[in-house]
Order: sequence, then C-alpha cells, then structure tokens
Amino acid sequence: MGAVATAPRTEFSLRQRLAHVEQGLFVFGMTIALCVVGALTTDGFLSLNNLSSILQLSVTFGILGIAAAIVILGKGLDLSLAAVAIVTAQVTLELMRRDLSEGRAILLVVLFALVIGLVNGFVVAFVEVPALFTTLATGQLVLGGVLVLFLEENIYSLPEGSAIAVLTDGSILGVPRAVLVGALVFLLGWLFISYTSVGRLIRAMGDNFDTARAMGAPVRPLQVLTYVVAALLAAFAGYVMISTENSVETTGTAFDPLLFTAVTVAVIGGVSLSGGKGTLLGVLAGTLFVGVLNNLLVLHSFSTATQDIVRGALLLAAIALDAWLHPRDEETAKTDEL
Amino acid sequence: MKTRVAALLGAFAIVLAGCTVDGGSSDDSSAGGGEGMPDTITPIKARQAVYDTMQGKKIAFVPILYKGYNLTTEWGHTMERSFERMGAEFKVYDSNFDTDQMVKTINDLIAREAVDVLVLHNPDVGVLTQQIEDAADAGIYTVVINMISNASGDIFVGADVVGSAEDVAERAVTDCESRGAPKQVAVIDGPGNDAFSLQWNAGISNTFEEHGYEVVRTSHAQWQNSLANKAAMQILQQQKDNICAFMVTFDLNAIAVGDAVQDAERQGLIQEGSIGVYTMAAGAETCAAMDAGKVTATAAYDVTGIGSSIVAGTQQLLEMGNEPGSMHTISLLPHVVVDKTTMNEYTIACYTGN
Amino acid sequence: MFGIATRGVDAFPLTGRGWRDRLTPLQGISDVIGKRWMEGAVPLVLAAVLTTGVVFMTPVGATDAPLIMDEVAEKSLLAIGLTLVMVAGGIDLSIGSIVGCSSLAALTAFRVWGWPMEVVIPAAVILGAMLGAINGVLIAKMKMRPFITTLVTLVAFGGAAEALQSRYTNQLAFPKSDILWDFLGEGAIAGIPTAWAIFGIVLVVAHIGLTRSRWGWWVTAVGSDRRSARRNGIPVDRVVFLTYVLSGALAGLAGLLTAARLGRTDPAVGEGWELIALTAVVIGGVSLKGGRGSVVRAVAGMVVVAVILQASIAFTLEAGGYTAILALVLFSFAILDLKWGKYRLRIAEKLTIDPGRISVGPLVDVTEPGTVWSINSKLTDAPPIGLGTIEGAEDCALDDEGNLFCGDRRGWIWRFSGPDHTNGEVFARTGGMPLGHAWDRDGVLMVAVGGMGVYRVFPDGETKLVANQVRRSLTSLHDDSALRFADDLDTAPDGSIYVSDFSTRTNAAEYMVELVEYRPNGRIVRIDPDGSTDVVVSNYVFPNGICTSHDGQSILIASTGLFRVDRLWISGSKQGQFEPVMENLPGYCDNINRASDGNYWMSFIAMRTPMSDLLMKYPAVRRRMTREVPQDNWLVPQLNVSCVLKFDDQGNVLKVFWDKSLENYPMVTSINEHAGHLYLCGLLNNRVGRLQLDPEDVGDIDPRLVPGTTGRSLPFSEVAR
Repeated sequence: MGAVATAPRTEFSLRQRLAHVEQGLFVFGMTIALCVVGALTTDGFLSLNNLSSILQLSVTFGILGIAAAIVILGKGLDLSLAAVAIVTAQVTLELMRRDLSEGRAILLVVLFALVIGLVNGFVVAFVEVPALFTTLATGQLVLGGVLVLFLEENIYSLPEGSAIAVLTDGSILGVPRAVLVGALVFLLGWLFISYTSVGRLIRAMGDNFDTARAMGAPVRPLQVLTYVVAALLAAFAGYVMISTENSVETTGTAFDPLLFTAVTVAVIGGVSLSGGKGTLLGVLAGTLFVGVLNNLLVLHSFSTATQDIVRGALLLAAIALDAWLHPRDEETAKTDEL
Repeated sequence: MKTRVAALLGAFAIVLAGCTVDGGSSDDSSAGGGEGMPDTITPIKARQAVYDTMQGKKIAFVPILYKGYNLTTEWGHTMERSFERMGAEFKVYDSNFDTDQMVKTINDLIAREAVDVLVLHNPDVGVLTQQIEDAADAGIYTVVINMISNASGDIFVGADVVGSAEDVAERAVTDCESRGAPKQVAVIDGPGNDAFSLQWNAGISNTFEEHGYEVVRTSHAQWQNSLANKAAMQILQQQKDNICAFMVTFDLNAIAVGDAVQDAERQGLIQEGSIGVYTMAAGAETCAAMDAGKVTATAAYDVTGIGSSIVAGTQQLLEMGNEPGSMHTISLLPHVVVDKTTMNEYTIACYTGN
Repeated sequence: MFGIATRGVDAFPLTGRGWRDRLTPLQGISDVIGKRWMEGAVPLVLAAVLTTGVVFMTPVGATDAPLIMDEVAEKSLLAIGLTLVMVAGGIDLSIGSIVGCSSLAALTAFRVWGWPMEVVIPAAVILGAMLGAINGVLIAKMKMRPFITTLVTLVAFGGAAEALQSRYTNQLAFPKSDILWDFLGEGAIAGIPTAWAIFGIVLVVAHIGLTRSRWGWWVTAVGSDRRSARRNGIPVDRVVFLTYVLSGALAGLAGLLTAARLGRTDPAVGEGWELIALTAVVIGGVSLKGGRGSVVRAVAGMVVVAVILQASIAFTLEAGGYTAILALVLFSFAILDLKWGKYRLRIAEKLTIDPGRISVGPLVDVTEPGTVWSINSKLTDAPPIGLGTIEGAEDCALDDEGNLFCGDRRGWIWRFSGPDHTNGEVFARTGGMPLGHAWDRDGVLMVAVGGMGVYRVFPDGETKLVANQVRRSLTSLHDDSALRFADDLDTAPDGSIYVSDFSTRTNAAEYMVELVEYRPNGRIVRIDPDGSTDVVVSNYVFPNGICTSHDGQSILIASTGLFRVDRLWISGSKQGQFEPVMENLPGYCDNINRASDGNYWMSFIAMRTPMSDLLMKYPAVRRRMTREVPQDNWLVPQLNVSCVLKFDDQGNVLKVFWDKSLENYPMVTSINEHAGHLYLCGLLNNRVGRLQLDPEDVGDIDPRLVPGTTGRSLPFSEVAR
C-alpha cells in the first residue's frame, strides 16, 4: 500500500466539524449531560416517578414544537399555535357545558382549527402577508373573538370521565399513556417530514423557496398545508394540555409561555428559523432538553421568575451556539430574514 | 460661548419655571342627591324618596374579573336587581385580569363623567390611588369593595381578611397537630401587592407565629389557576411530606392546588391526606371542591352581604349628598370557617353567583 | 392639480383646443400616487378616516382626548423605538418586558431602596438601555436572529421583573411622595403634561435624527441593504446595536412614566405592550423588510390604536374584544400596506401616458409638381465628414479657423480640424446627449445637452454647467424645475441664452412617449448672463429649434409637433409679443439657423401624412396603442426624411433641398452655413455632410456671429476661461 499517496487531509476547524454533527444528537448529548448533572446534584431526580413526570409534562409543548417545526421547515412561522391550542380546549369544554356530546364537540373544534390553519396558510401563501403578522393577528383574533363571542366561564374544568381525560390517564405496560401519545405523534411527524415526498418538498421549499418553485413544487398549496397540519397538531396539543392540567383559563394571551416554549424547543433542536434545516429528531431532543431543564429548575426550588431568567439565558446560549455553528452568510443574507 | 451658555441657562430656567405639579383642582360639583332623609317620613313617602334619589343615577361596577366568576357576579346581580328596580342605570365593566384595561375604563368613566358612583374592585393597593382622587374631584362617589386601596374611597366594604386568615390558619394548625405533621406550611397568594394577599399573609403569620409554624415558601400565583397549580406541584416535588398545609389566598386557586395535591398523592409523591389545602371564601365551586376532598377548609365570608352592603352604602351616599371624597368609611363583614361537613350549615357558604 | 403651470407666454392656444384639453386627469393621478410620500399617505389617510369614524360613531369624544393622549405619549415611545429597530431591518419584541423591568425597578429604587429621584430617573432609562444593549450584543455582535432572540429576552426580562417584584412585594405596595415623582406623573411643563412634553421632544429628536442626520441615513441604509451598507463603509454592527439600545432606553423611559402615572406594582406592567406597539407601527406603514418607515407615521398609527382602544372601553367591550379588533386592524393594514406598496408604482406607470388632442390644419401635398416643395436630390451628393466615426451628430458649429465641432449621441463632442475636416478627435465628453450647438457673445461654444442642461465648452475641452434648472412652478404636481430635454439654443445680443426645452416631463431617451402623448409640455427658457433662468414661453408643443433673428430683436422658435415657426420679440417696441411666422408646414420642424443672405435655414425630420394627422384627433387610440403594442411598432412620425428649407423673416419658403434617395442623409436635423458651405447634421446619420452652396445663395453675413455684434476679438482656440 506504500505506493498509494495519502490524500492531503483537509483540516476542519472545530466549528466546521461541530456544524456537521446533527444538532439533534448534539442536543441529546447535552440532555444526557444535564441528566448526569441532575442525578449528581439532585435527590430523587433519577427516580422512575420523576423521569416519567418529566416526559408527561413535556408532551404538550413537544407536540406544539412539532407543529412549529413543520411550519418553520417550510420557511414559515406560526405564532397562533398557542392560541389555537388554548382556544381548542376552551371551546370544546364550553360546547360540552352546553350539552353537546364530546365527540361532536371535538369534531366541530377540529374543523374550526382546520379553518384557522387554512386562513393562515391562505393569507401567507396567496395574499403574501408576512407570516409573522398573519399568525400573530389570527392568534389574537381567535383568542379575543372566542372569548368575547362564545365563552361564558372564566375557568373551564375537564368533566370527570371524558374521553379527553383518557388521553393521558394511566399507563400501558408501565409507560404513561401521555408519553405513548407523544411518541406516536413524534413518530408520525418524523415519517411525514423525512420519508414522504410532501415532507421532502416542504423541506426543499424551506431550503430555497425560489428553486423549489422553479422546480415545479406547488409552493403555495404546500405552505397552506404546513399551516393546516400545524393548526391540527396545535388542536391536539390543546387536548393533551387540558388532559394533563384538567382546566384552562380565559386569560391566555397570544404570547403565551406555551408558544414561547414550542418555538424554542424547535429552534434548540436545530430547526433553523431560516427554514429547511433541521429534523424532528432534533425537536424531540429539544423537547427532552427543555423538559429536563424545567424539572431541574423546579427541583432546585427556583421561583417561576428565576426559572424564566435561567431558562431564557440557556435558550439564548443555545441560539447563540446555532448562530455560531450556522452563521448567516453576510453577503447573501436578506435583511428581512428575522 | 458665554452668551450661548447664558441663553441655554435662560431657556432652562424658563422651562423649569413652566414646570408644575398638578395638585388636583377640586371640582365642587357633587353627584347631586339630597341632604339626607327628613326626621320623620311616612313609609310610602320614604320609599318614594329613595326611588326619587336613585332615579337616573348611573352606577358602574369595575371588577377584576366578572364573566363566569361567582364572587363578582354575586355582587353584580345583587346590584343589578336593586339599582335597576329603582330606575338607576347599572353597568358592569369586566377587566378580565387586565389592569391596564381596568385603569383605562375608570379613567374614561371619570373623564366623560358618565357615572355617579364607581364600584371598584382593586387589584393592587397602589394602582387606583390616583383614580379614586380624580373621581372625587370629578364629583363621583367611589365604593371600594373587598380589596382595599391605599386611597380611601367614600365607602369600603369587604371581608375581614386578616381575621379570616387567622381563623382558617387556626383550623390548619388544629388539623396538622392532629396528624402530627411537620410545622411547616406553604403559601400561594395573588400578585402579592394586593390588599387581599397582604392581609392574608399578615393574618396567617399572626396565627402561625403564635403556634411556632414556619412558612417555608410563598408563591405569587397572580390569581391564575395554572400558575397556582404549577407552584403547588413544584412545592410538592421539593418538600414532599415536609409541609402540612397549603394556605391559598384565592379560593379558585385553592381548587387548582387541590388538584396538584391529589395528583401528587396518586403518583405516590406524598402520602394520602398528609397535606391540607386552606383558603377563604366559599363559592359553589369551592364547596364542590371541598366535597371532592380537594380543599380542606375555608373561611367562608359573607359574600352576599357585601353585595347588599354595596347597595345600601350607595343609597346612603346618594341620599346624604356629601361631597365625594369628604368622608370615608370602612366596614368589615363576618366570616365562618367551614369544611366538607359543615359547609351546608351556613347560609353564607356556597353562594352561587346569582 | 390637472392643469398646466403657465409662465411667460402661454402657447397653449396654438394647439387649437379649449381649456378641457389642458387637463391631464390620468396623468395627474399618476403624478400624485407616484410621489414618494404617497407610500405612507394612503394607509395613513385610511387610518385617519377610521379614527374619525370611530370618534363620530362612538361615545368617545373631546373629553377622552387627554386619556388618548396619555396612552399615545407612553406607548409611542415604544413605537418610536420599534420603528428605529425595524427600519434597520430588525425587530424588538422584548420592549414590553423592558417597560416592566424599568417600571418596577424605578418603584423599587424609590420606595424600597430610598434612592433620590434625581438618581432614579436616569437610572430607569439607563436600565432600559442596558437591557436593550443585551439584545444589541446578541443580535449585532453574535449575529443571532432578532425575532427569536427578542422573543426569548421578552420572557427572560419578564422573569427579571417578576423576580424583583416578588422580592419586594410588601414594601413596593406603599407609595412615597416626591415632588419629582409627582412632576413626572401629574405635573406639567408650561401647561403641557410632563409625559406629553417628553414624548413630543423624543418624537421631534427621533424624526430629525432618522430623516436628517447621517446616523439616520445609516439606519435606513442598513435596513434597505445590509451588504451595500457594509460595502459603503457603514459600521453595520454598531448601527444595529445602537438601534436596540435606543429602543431599550425609550422602553425604559416609558416604564418610568407609567410607574409615575399609575404606580402599578404587579409584574404584568407592560405585558402585551409590544404587540400594541407592533400594531401601531404596522398601521404607520413601517415595513417588516426594513429600510422603510417614519416615526411620525408610527405615532399616527399609535393614535389610531389608542382611539380604537378608547372606543372599545367606551363601548364596554371586554379585553378580548379589544384584542380581536386590534388584530383585525393589524391584519387589514398589513395587507393594505403590502398591496399598496406593490401596486402603487404599477398604477402610476399605467396612468402616466395620457395622450392629448391637437387640431391641425390641412395637409400640403409636397409631391404636387411645380411648387417650391418639389422633391429633388440636391443633398444626396454632399461629401461626408467623419464618415463612420460619428454617430448621430444632431447639430454642429464651426469656429473662425474652420474647425467643425459636432455632437455624438454617445455623449462626445468631436472636433474635425479645418479646413478639410479629415482629422477628427473627441474634443469633449459631456456625459449626456449633445444636441444644439451655438456660440455665445464671447466666442465660447455652448451646447444644449439632452438630459443635463446647457453647458459651455472651453477650448481645452473642459465643460462647465451654465444652467440645468428653472424655478419650479408652484401649481405643478410634477417637478418641472429640471431642463430635462434642452435641444437647441441661441444667444441674444444682450448675452442671454434662449433654450428650447422639448418637454418638462420626459427625458431625451424617451422622446417616443412625447410623440405619442402630444401634450404641450415644452417651453422656452432664457438664461441670463448671470446664470439666472426664467421661462419665457410655456405650454409649447415640442420646441425643437431656436434662433435669434438677424436684427437681434426676436427669436424664432420651431415647433416639431405643430409644424410651425413662431417669433418671440425680445427687444424693441414689440418686446414680449408672440406671433406666428409660418404655420401648417408639411413636415415636422427641427433646428433653425441663420443664413448668410439674411434668411434662415430649417430642416424637417419627418413629413406629415394623412395617417399621422388622423391620429392627432384620437388620443384614446394612441393610449391603447401604448398599452397593447410594443414600442417599436408605435405609430409615430417616422424620422426618415432629409429636407432643408430656406425661409425669410416674413415666413416665405424660398428654397427646399431634399435627398430623394435617402441613401446618404436619411435625416437632417440641423444645417449650419459657413464659408459658402452647408453643414448637414442628422441624429441618425453616421456623418456630417458638407454641401457646396450656389454663389447666389451666399451672402456676406457671418451666421455664426450673435446678431448685433461685430465679430470676436479672439478665435475660439484662444478664448480664455
């Protein structure tokens, strides 16, 4: 083998090498590191009970994170997700209070979510209003409109024995049902984005919108599709939310912490806001990271306010890392990429 | 250069001279009404006199939250029944926990002088201070209910929060002692800067200090169930069985805390029945929650009575016709500690909001 | 708005039409919506209509004005900061939490820590600026995305506010009195409430800063195109950083003011204000794409938001109702702004060509034998100068030494050395389209450069601007100050220069549009020796040739569009009078120049046809043509004739020369006589022709001299600058 000249090895900087690592794996690694830290410093962190509670509490924002990720992968942004989730829960419970059967209430509400998704998609794709404004406005409109026109209570509690409660009740083979539900949604979302042609086209569109269009991808219908899928997932997340929390209030705002968590879960998981980049495995990793982080902050008796600060700082670090690993090309970056 | 400096100084002096602090010019127009009732009057004329006084008066009620909230709807409905029957206009302005909205509503009503009496439900001891003064200047009476403010309105009616807190804390101590639980409690209050939370915390610490109990955590749940629920879960995860009671200021929050306690029991985080949830006020939901074992005991205060007192106080203000802001009264209403077994024995517990 | 600004002699009656044909309604609309300020004006007018509607249809009235103003004053500070950030291409969602932080910090510092107010006031603003600086460092230095970054800091700063509040809950709730505190909250400066005054100062400073200062231009440049900004040496990072610091400082100021006014001590102070500011900014037409926006308009947007808010309160709408209405407004204005921005210029462009109607006299048939017009081939064999090297010499001039100076449509001026004109060199470069040439009183070459104005050319080839604008007329929507299309000029005995300006609307390169529109957009401008300019004839249809008469008392003006020559008396007893010399000629007139025998030379660039006359009557046909037919196929006078005529002061046509073959001289735009020769120039020719004149045509006047002067002291090559 001596005759074979060794090819000159290209030297990669640390940054370049890290940038090629799938961010999902990276975040998984960070999550595990966090778990190790947690196990060493915190009593009861490693208990089965605590771990399953981490997972259960992460399901709602995990599903919303998938919804956010699907839209972001297609170079969009959906700020109405939290509003849709909250409104879904409120309206379903109000309909049930008005003696509608649960099945019908859910059907009606899912149709409602579908309409919201269609409106979002239509306005973004066909009227070409920036997604930021569109979804901010629809989110506020839906929250405010439903509150004024429809709701009659301040706090809605989930009736005992409803089908929604079953969603996260108990466990199957020792695994909490909520976790199974979350896992199923992740699996389906992952298959959709990674292995269907529609999913691939969405990513292509997010990566380079003009090229995708020139290639013949139906970019506008695809955009609408991402918003519809996101709205439906948000509605589902709303059901998971009342199922775990048992009640929902009417004081939510469009900038609910839920929205914030969903978007950051996606971003931490490597779904770049510039679109096209990232996978749902990354979102899963991000979800677990935030879940473990929340748990540790709670176990270490931080007040909610301090938790917000610590979480904010950590998220900023994660976004800064993303910006460092995947820097914007200053020569080609458009200024309107927010 | 010197002239420029001089000119600047001069300009500055002029600006300074123009600065004023508005002391609030007192507007002497009063809300109208009589000089009080005559010494003697026949029953029929007396009734007519009341109706004449109330005829066409405008009364606005600005609660922190109205829709779907038994406490304020209880008062609202009482006022509505009374005032509308007497020919006065009554209107509710729901703030839905939005302080900005509340302040703007009140400012607007004062600016347009659209009302004769403002019934205020104050979210924060400081925030309505200016508005109460402005209302008096504009010749509008203010009736502050349940949540006292730094500025006194013409009338304050409300629960004896300190007393209620002392009494329900006493009950908590009794329960804890009977279980032999640790002498530690956790508090979940509102924003913390509101009259209710301040008085509640003062009341329970009176009792707990006396009995050597320690408040290990105070969480501000901002009146929000989700926050109360989360705060309770956190405290449970940290403290487990090391506390014996949650002292929750707001009864609806107490239900959410009760949910968290029951969840923790189900998960085996704490032993069943090892932690009690105590609060004050007893609306129908709270009673249902006590029935379901989520809330242990509550200091039920006379909510209906507060409604009636507002009605009576408003009529008194309008009949006396004193200048708004010239006199201030503060009245406290009674309470009783009830639990699952005793709640149906008292008329002041389990009000329905109608 | 649809009229024509008339200055000097009004030549409109020459078109033979009434006042209605003076109006150009579509063009007027196009002019209006094409204005830059219209970009924000339409949304703003709609906002004003909406506001007025709300005020009239709801209980909101004058008594609410102070409340609305309070609201506007506080929240506009946020809107102004957000505008700065957005104009620089970013977004700041964290301002709501910065308000909360600074408000609670100010209250804590004053009530709990007992700081003196003189310290608290600047500290609150500085705290805001520092929080803004955190955003700035993350976004400008670490290149993080503004949206997600400020969304996270929104939560983090909110947490900080809440932590502060819960640490000092009990002490915070009880007010302390201080003169400065009351001054901020309820005081007034010269009768104006303090908050309003502060807001007013900030607004003025921010507006001037953004529109008039270098830093403001940098902000706009960075937002419009980051790459170009960096390449132009603008410190992009520093500018972006500063916008966030300013936004934070203004939010801090707003927090201080709200703390003084309301004294709210719950951690929800400022919650949701970022959305209100964002809505206001969108209503004000600030673009999410950066580079576009005005703080004044953002404040106007805030007024709309505040009025709607007040109306929703007066209507006792629930908080949710207000949110929903605000969202609807945000929605509609985002769409409106987007669509208006997209279609405004398209509409303006569509309406800008607005053909007019012209009445013309009967057509003279030049093919009829036996008239002075008889077609001949006299020009055909004129020997060429500069064959193949020249491209489009519209006009030329000759100096005493026989050197020929002629223009070139590439922007040059050639010099062909006399007397044989074989050696040509580029003598001067104008950068525009050199058209008419003439000598001034001192013997310096004057050139009318299309698109640039009037220039002097010195013997060393240096050019110097003489004039390129006149005072703008007050009643014209369109900016008619520039000499867009100076095409010929001549010097009067008093040294003033008369210039024909083909059109006040169109540049030289777009002359086809003028030929289709056929509007009296042309004018004659006098440039006085001191450089001041004045319009002497306005509303003239395509003035294309100008020449001082032999007696020096009048100037002759050739109208390409109306086939006529007019005379404007500039001195003597008839001074100021305007009278026709020749009317209803058979061709489209171009330059006029003096002949040596006391007459004048003029050329036609095209001949009238029954078709072209017919088209004059139907402006709608011409408009449709511009919309549906490519420019190459437009029916306009075809510039393909070479016809030179000689006429006398009374307007009698004496002689007509043609190039029947059109082989050598497909067009002649100008004729200059010198030393027994005619020099033939043409805008589409690749040569200048030199035609030997019959001795009978040659007189003893030097046509190059300004009438009334007796020759120059120095030849051109020795004229000093």
